Order: sequence, then C-alpha cells, then structure tokens
Amino acid sequence: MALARLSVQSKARRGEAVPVRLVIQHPMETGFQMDTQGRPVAKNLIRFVVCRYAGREVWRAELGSGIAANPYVEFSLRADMTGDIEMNWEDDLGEKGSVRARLDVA
Amino acid sequence: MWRAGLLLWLVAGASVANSQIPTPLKSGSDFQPADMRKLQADDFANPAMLWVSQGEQLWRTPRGDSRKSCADCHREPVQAMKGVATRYPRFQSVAGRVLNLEGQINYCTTERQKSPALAYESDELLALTTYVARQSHGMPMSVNLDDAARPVYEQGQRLYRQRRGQLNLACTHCHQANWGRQLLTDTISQGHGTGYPAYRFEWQKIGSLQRRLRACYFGLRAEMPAYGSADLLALELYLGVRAAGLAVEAPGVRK
Amino acid sequence: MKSLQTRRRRVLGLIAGTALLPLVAKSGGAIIAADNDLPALIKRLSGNAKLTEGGIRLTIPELADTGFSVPVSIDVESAMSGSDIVKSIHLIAPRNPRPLVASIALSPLMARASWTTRIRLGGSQEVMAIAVMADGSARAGRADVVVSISACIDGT
Repeated sequence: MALARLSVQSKARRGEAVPVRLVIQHPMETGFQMDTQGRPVAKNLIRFVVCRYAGREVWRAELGSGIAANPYVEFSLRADMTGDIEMNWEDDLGEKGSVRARLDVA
Repeated sequence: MWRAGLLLWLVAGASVANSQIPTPLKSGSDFQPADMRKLQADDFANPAMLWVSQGEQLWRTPRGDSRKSCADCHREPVQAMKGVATRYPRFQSVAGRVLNLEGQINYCTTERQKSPALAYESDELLALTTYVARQSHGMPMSVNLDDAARPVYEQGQRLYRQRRGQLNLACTHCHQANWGRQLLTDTISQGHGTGYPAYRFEWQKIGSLQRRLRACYFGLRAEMPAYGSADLLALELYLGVRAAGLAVEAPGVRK
Repeated sequence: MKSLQTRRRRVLGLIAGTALLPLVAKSGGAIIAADNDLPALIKRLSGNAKLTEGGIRLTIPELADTGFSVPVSIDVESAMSGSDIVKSIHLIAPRNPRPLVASIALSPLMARASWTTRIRLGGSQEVMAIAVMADGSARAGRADVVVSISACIDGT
C-alpha cells in the first residue's frame, strides 16, 4: 500500500506563493543493510518523484540512498490557475504511488 | 567497549536513588533535541502520522471470517477510543489476562474478527495501535492497578530494578538515578513509555514500546525477551503505573 | 551468543549503510568507490560550467542529532521568471556511500527556487549543493555538518 500525505491549502489568490508539503511512507532501503538474521536487505528506493500542477510539471526529483526513510519534501509554487497538485513516484520494485489535492485559484 | 566504560563510569560515580518515581515527571520528548520535539508537535511532518493515517484506513477495513471492521463494533473511533490508551496495560476479564494495547487489538482481531493475529512490529499492528493511542493524545495516564493485575505489576517492578546483561545495570541506574545527565549527546530520560508507538530515527520507522524495551536490553548486552513475552508485558504495566498523570504523547518522535 | 552476533552484524550493516567507519571500505569498497569520483560527478552535474560560490544557500544544522534524518533546505537567489531561472539543483554528501543525494529539475511554476527535504548523512562532512541556471552558469553552496551518534547501540 503506497501511503502518502500531502499538505496544501485549498484556495489561493492568483500570483500567491502556495506552500506544499509531502510525506511518503517508504523505507528507502539503501541495499547496504542487513536484517536481524544477517541477510542483506535488497535495495529499494523511490527512484523519482514528479510534481505536477494543473497538468504541468513543477519539478522532477531523482532520489538516491541519501534521502531519509519516509521522504519529506517542502516547496512553494506560484498559484496561477485552478487545478490539481499531483505527486507521482515509483520505486525500484516498480511500485507506483500518487497523491493529489485541488487548488482553487481566484 | 568505550561506551560500556562510559556507562560504568557514570553509574559508579553516582548514587542510586531509592525513590520509586522520578519527580517531577518529565515526558520522553522533554529529553529530546529541539528538532525532534518540533517534529513531534507538527501533525503533518511527524512521520509517525503516516501510520495514524494507515490505522484510520485499517479501522474501516473488514477482516477475517466475520467480515467485520473495527468500525462495525466501535462506531466513532474518536469518541470510542478516547482515553483508552491511558488505561493500558490492564487486566481484561474477558481474556483472563493482562493485555497491552497491541494485545487488546489482537484479542479483537482473533476473537471478534476471526482473523489471524497481527504480528508484532508489523505495519498493520503498529498502525492500529498508533491510531488508537492517538485518540488519547494529551490525556493523563491512569492505569488501574486492581488485584488481578498486581502480580504482573510486581513482576515488572522487580525486573525494573534487576541488574542484567554484560553491563550489569538495572533500568533504575539510568532512568531513576541519572535522568537528566548526559551520555555523549543524549540526555538520559526518565524512561516513560507514553510516547510509544514512536517514530525513532534509529529505526527509520515507527516502533512499539516493546521494541524500545528490547533496545535497552540490547544496549546492556542482555538477552532480549521475545515480543509479547511475560517480561516485556510486566515491564510495560509497571511503566504505565509509574507514569500516572503524565500525558500520552503518542506518536512520539525520538532520535 | 549467536543471535547477539548476527545482531551485531546488523548494527555494522546499519553503520555501513551510512558509511560511518573506514571498515566500510573493506566490505564494500569496490561498489562505493565506483560512485565516489567526486570531481567527475560535480563536472557532470554542472555541465562542465565553472562553479561560482554565492547566490545559493544551504541550510542544515551545524550539529545533526542523528545521521538518519537531517533537515536540509536549498535556496537559490532567482526570480524564477524571464531569463533568471534555476534549471536544476543537486545535493551532494561526499562521505555517503552514494554521494549524490538528489537531483531536482525545476520549472518557473515554483514560487521560489527553494526545495526542502530530510537526508541521511554517513558521518560528519561538508555537504554541497549545486544550482545550474538557465544561462548555463552554475553555483555552489556548502555547509559543514557534525553528525552525532547515539550513546546506546540499538540492535533491534
């Protein structure tokens, strides 16, 4: 189950800077760790996260093993039109996740 | 080895207090660095809240042969579960034994939902436990020590004072006699479990109070009791009574 | 004792995961070294542009409480409009087993050229951020971090 939380206000004025926060439940396994039985734990990282706003790409991040488990991201986008803020990601096992929130711009 | 030496030096240089309960009571987060306290207070950025969200989903998901969800019996979790975590572990007469919150959830899982018990430290059990504990956020601990629970409590008290492991230390040596003092960059806490399940950065996920207790055993180079064992349950009950009046702060954030 | 030993190995594995000790080089040196050509990595990320210091700020605690999760913000001075646009930012932790922590391609939809996350640090080091601008120039920001480790070993 790909679980994530997205924090964004529901309304904004045109031109306003809108803070967005994202947390994804994911172990970000580095591939360097052992389990309690001494067996290596397979590498499994979220390879990339893409943020879109009203269908347009805001940023695209390639992540490495240096990103902490349960990745956290914070940034601001410029409100210019009503639309969904949408996050999509995929990990090394091919598991995909997404989360979205609507922003109404007046 | 140098860490062991540091601990031994610290304990040898300090007198062991006899008092039962530290005063004033201070929560686990009081001993955490500012960044951890800030995260714990931030309902969004606190990574443990992911498991609260997961627990909220699981609460409504039917399971087992009964095809019942938690919500089918306990309709309004925010009301029904309010204050519940402050009373656990407790003697549960239907079950005929002392149960902690995980044990109570698994009792419902097996007896009411007719589903296999959830494994200790599985995301499912952690999520449901955290979700239930969260409904008591800020409420004072009030574990009821009745006659049925007393022998378990006394066992827990005995374990709390018993030296163990290669370091030959009891819980009291750190969390009674030396709380507030430094071990490297850590400040020794009073050893309350009120923040658990907690997100511990060392674990890179959320974990139960029993996992934390096992970590203390490991730190002392002692044999770790199994999850769900009588020893860990007894310690949990003792800690619950010892923390009477302290606010539930689960899910906590710890180094 | 056996279980304690496997747990000890796990603890070492945890440490190796964040490359706290020179021990790491013995167990996984080849893999780690392959990714460790820092000048080549920086050259590739900056598109061979000469790095200028300034115009970029890396905010990170001087003393990190744990290497498992350190808050970090990258802020680049940019209007994010017209020709004053940051194309990409990169975060590098040279002492990590994989130094490249993240590469982020930005667009003018960002209100500011600013991105915040939490990272793993395999020990005390100078963390580095690179910003590549739309005109092809590149900026570098650096910050020293001391990473503290826990007093009690946790083998659970």
